[in-house]
Amino acid sequence: MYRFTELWWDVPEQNETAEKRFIERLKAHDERAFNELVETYEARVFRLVFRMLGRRDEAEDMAQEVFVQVFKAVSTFRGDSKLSTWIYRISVNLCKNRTKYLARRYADAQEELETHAERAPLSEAKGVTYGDVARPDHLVEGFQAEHIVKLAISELEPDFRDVLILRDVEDLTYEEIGQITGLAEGTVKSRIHRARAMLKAKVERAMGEKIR
Amino acid sequence: MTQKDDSEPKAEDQNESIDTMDSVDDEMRSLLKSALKEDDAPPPKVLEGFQRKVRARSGGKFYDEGWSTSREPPVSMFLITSLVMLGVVFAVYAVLGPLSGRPAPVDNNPAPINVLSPPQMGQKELIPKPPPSASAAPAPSAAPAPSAAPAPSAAPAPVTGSSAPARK
Repeated sequence: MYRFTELWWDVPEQNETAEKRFIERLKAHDERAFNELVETYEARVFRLVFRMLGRRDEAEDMAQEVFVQVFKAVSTFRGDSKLSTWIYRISVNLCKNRTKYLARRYADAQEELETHAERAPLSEAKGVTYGDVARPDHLVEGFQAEHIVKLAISELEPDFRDVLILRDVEDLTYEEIGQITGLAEGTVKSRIHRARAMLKAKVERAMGEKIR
Repeated sequence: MTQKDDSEPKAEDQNESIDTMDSVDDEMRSLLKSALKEDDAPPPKVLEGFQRKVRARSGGKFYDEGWSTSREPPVSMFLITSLVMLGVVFAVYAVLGPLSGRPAPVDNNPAPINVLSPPQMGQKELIPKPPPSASAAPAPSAAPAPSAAPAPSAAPAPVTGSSAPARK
């Protein structure tokens, strides 16, 4: 069985041989190997595409589409990068295409960011959990702030949003992000920097409050 | 994948300042994480949809039969079937076992053989010949076939000891 005990993008050395064998099975279109692949990666692929698309129904369909694309293109996988990185790259590319399609389709139905600015203080949003909030109204304010951040992310350009999510939410390294997006490492860093600045500006404008 | 460096600012020049950026933007990062981490709902089962799509797009070449679409070998199914069959066998044994026993005694002694002596002269035959009847004999046709040979007698006359010339 093809299973990782550590983080899925952090394949240890001893797993490399197993991964090579596994990739050979995938290239031979072994159905059981693909079952294992989907079971191993479905949760992480789904979460990634969910964060990028922001819609659960779209994300569910997109996650299936990612694996179908892997099935179709696995024979072209040269092994230059890790299998997980390759799957991530397919996910990001498909999400970009879908985002463009959805943006065209739902251009008029998009929610305005400013309408959600109920002037909830940003400080209420940090590390808000059910357990550490003494007052329920603080929890609600925290959720509002998080909602504003989500909307601000959805308003970012896809190129900036993708690298920001990969870095700040998925905790990938700059090198891995470079492999996934096809950008140079320096470009990745500057793009993340600009993405954070844009996000910060959007959120501050919506909240009417400076982020320290 | 193409390198999209053209429209980007001088990335290398900013590297040092960017490296320290992660710590500076901790506030933004934590906000971003907390905003998106709540999306960690249980993911749906992707496998079924994936198999369905591959089956449809490959025209039934892949994932067409039941075993390949199962998540794992149906060990439990084999086990349950084996146990059920074992139970059935034991049930049948339990029901039919008491009915079985020693076989009923049967007299297997051979019946006495009564050897019949051959019929003697003047003695009535044991099996009488049926009397010739009109219905049994074929009716003579109006124009008998010329090739019809005289029918031999139905049975040769029994040779008796008195009529046969004695050989000496």
